[in-house]
Amino acid sequence: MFIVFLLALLLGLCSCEQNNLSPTFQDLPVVEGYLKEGESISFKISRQVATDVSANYSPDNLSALNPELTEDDTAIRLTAKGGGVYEASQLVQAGKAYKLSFRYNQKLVTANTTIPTKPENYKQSVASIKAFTFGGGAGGGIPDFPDPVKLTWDNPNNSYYVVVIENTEATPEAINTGNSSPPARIFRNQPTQGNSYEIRVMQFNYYGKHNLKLYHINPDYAVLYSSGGSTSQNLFSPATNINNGVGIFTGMAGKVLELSVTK
Amino acid sequence: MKQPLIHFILCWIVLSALSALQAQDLKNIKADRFFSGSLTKVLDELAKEHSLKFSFDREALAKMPVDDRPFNESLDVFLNNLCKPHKLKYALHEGTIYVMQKTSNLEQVLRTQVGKVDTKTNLPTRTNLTVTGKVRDAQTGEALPFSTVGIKGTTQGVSTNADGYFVLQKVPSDTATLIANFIGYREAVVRLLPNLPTDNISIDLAPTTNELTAVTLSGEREDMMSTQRTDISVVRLTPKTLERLPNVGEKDIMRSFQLMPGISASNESSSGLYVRGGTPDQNLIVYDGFTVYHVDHLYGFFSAFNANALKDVQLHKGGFESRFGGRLASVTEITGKDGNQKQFNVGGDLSLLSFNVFAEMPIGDKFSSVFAFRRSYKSPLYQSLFKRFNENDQNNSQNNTQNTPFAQNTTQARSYFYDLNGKLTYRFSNNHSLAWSIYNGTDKLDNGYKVETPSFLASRGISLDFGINDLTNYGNLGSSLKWTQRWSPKFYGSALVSYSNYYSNRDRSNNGTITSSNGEQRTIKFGTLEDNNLKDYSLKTDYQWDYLPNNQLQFGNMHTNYDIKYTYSQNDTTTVIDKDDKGYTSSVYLQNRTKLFNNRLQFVAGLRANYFNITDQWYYEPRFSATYNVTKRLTLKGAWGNYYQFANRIVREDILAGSRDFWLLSNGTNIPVSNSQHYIAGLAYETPQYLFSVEGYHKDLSGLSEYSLRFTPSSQGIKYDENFYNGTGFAQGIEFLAQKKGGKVNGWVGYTLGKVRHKFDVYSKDFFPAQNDVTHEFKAVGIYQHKRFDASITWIYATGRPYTAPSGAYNISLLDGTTESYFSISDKNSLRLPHYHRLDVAFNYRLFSKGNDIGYIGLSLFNLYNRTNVWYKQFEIIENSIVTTNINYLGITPNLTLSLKLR
Repeated sequence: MFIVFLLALLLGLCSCEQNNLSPTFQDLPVVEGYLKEGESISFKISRQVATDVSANYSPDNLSALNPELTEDDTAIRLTAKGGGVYEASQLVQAGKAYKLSFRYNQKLVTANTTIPTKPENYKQSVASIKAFTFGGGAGGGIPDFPDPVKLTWDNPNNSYYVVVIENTEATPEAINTGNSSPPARIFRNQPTQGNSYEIRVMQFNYYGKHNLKLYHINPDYAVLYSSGGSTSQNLFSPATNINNGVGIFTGMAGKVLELSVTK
Repeated sequence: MKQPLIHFILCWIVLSALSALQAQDLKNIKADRFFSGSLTKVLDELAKEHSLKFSFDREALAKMPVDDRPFNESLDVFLNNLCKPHKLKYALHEGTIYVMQKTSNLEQVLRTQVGKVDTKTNLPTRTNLTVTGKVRDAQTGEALPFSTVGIKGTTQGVSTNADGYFVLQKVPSDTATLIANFIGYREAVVRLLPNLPTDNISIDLAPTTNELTAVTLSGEREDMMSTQRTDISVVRLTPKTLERLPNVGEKDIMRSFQLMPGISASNESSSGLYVRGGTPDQNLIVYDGFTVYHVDHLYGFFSAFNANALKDVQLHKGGFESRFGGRLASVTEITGKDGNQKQFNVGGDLSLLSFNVFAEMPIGDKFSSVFAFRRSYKSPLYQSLFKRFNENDQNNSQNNTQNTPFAQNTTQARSYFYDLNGKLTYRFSNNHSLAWSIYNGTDKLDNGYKVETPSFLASRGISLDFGINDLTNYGNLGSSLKWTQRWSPKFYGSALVSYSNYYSNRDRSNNGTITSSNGEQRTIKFGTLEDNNLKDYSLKTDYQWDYLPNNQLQFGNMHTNYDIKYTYSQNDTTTVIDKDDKGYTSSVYLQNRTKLFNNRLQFVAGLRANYFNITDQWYYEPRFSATYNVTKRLTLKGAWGNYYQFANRIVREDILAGSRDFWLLSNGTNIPVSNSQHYIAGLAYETPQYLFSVEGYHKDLSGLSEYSLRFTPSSQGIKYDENFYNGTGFAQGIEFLAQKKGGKVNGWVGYTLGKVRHKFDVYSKDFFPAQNDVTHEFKAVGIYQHKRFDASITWIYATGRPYTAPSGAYNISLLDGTTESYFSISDKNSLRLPHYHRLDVAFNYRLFSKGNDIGYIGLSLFNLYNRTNVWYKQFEIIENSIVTTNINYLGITPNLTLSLKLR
């Protein structure tokens, strides 16, 4: 009995199995569409990169997919701009529902989104802020250490908001020149369900005018920040709101305030 | 076979055989001349000059110098003077002067005179008797658990229990010879004598480390008497001898187990054991009676157990007995030292990673204590290991939106680990003791940085506290109080209350606190915060009753209350998960061990019944095992058992961005109680020098759970979907072991052919290789000893582990203009990492003072040929193609250790 058991195990263990199979590539289109309230419509359709360099892609022409877009069930005329980019001159309206559909790789790809309302009661605590530098105060004096810029808005429903801060100067002057490479001109917070955000003076990299954009976003966008991994220990399929595809097709509505960072 | 030194049993010399000497005679004999040379030489001369009969260890006393000039001194005084400086004493018995260690007693010495006893005066007076006693460490007096005691020339033998006691029934006569063995100790041969009692005899074993001999690690205790080959799938080691094996920075019990077949050795980043296709959480770890839930120090490079504080470790690889429950795969039973019961001892180790100190302090002959403390320090080795993890970690950090001009003023926070072991034992009598044991080990791993307040701001009353937090704080606190009572030589019991707490906090956030000159303070925190806190309160009793000569009954109960909390929150405001599981299990077990056919067949049948209040159900675990000695050398073995697990460790997918794991209780719905059935068969062939063993196993697994936290959009916001995927699986394998058990060159080779398959409907309708599936694993261990030197070499080869690779990838531009890469996945674990192999070597030079072993200097070289072993793969999209980067395990890593102890 012992010998039979051991032999049976050996046979079972030695049975051939295929190892190191290349992962099966599914040719799904990538949609990247941000419909911003008050702006014209634009989105892009692209292909994924396959791990297997010999993978077969569908023959579909990305710029001739003839996608259909509706606004509250009314068709919108789209223009292919090449490179998978499609545009419409029509402006996106808050509260409207947009549906996108097209065929790719013999499958119907669909996505839909509703444009959120514009942020309300969006305010900033100050219109300008003095930049912080080490020993950089006027006349070599000690600089002030100002309070952060506090942005507030109404958010009774715990919706998602994101703040994007962008220097808008044509030739921006960096605050600290010690950096080896130029710092980013644009930064953001993580999507928040709160109703305020504080920008600390240290976060600014440049002097001059800045746009403080507040976007009221859908959860579809917020989830992009919590999605996916990049190592063999943590890979999982990222979230998407595209059926038979990947990527994001989502609406948002923004308001802009201005802030000046001074010397 | 080499003879032991300190036990004084090897070279008994009878120098003359005159009429029986009386104590009074010693006073009448005078010594009156110059004596010089070794003690052996002096005693030889005294024997010759005065026609005396001495009995002593010739080899040991030959190293003890004498330089004395007695002036007409009586022999009893002179002998005292000779013995005192060497911590010896003498005793007169039936005309012979016995010279022995101060800590020995005459009864033991007499028992060890095998072959030297006059058989005419020692004819058997009793037959078929019961012998009871205790096996102890000769140096420290500590009980040696699970050692074996057998009768020479028969197949009879037993194991001692957890407190070193044994009951040997049906002993043929009161002149029989007993042989006792314990790994890391010299074999002891003890003679029963008609004029000495057969109850409560003490058998003292001498550690081999003092003598630079013997094997350090044994498969299934098979290097002991072949008649004692009664255990199945058991690997044991004594931490005392671990220093001979190569190490990265610390001698490590878990890493050493990984050198045996059936236990995976290719996962450098986990001290937890992958036993026969099981995962570390399926391995029950019991330390002095309490359960330890997490065993990793420094991201898993080291185990949390300080070898200096441990006495014995046993790993049951499968088919384990009914006294253990609550895990699917295996049991690691760790027994802490009680502390030296004879004299104060202190010692310590200093390696390139940590320092380690211990002290053993007896008070009287009833109380003993031991304390051990270990802490890492900021050594180059620690930093190199820490950075290895965190460089990779930083590659994975996301959404670091903080940007500060203060980078030049940042300070790196300190990271370290420590552990503390303590044990106090009070022996009310030989049969009754109380022991309190405590263990605390913590890792503080801080990869964050803080901005210091510039002095010009501080002078204005402004303080600045700004930085990136990446703090992981985890550890265990466990304690047990154990009451042991030997009601009669055949009935033994213990009761234990214990507490075990596993805590793990992870703060991975950006924060800023600004205190302005008017005292106003603002704090902002973004990121993720996790907190897992598991508390286990247990009450346990175990009884052992040798009710018939060939039957032993074991029974007991265990009650465990669980309180497991887990919270996961974002931005210190949004709580994503908030779990507080409370529940209990109540278990009873009963098992009988029977020996038949002149002890050739032994079978153990047991049943464990568990009640789990969450599901309000009883879970029954019948278990059965048998061994049959076909010949004196060949043994067949088999086991079958049913196993349940109620508390599960959930391993996070993103081990770098969050806590690596957390514990949850089964709930009977989406986290089922998991189950496993073990089928084991094997055979072993053993000669005095070699052991050859083959063991096959098959395990069916059900109720497996995998966890994933998904952030999915919904109309109400982001929904946190906690997905528990349930599946089944099996693990099977066959293990081969060939071991040379002793001699100057010893060691073993082991090979495991294994397969672990899981089936989760969410991934595939077919079985797929589990993440811990390793097809081939080969290990070779060689140890060479010569006088003060010992050297060891280990080589490990293992098939690469499976992993899931992306099938495709894409970039998405975010609102701030940055681009984020996303990967699509397809087949689960369809690819394998490259084969793993490495060679480690170690050299030790032992230090002796006055003939006593006081430590060693060791050099260890890990991964000698600097093999690049892949830990995991990292994926990036670069110029429209997926670029894969290997993140590798350790390259060649040297370590130096200095270990010193008083005794």
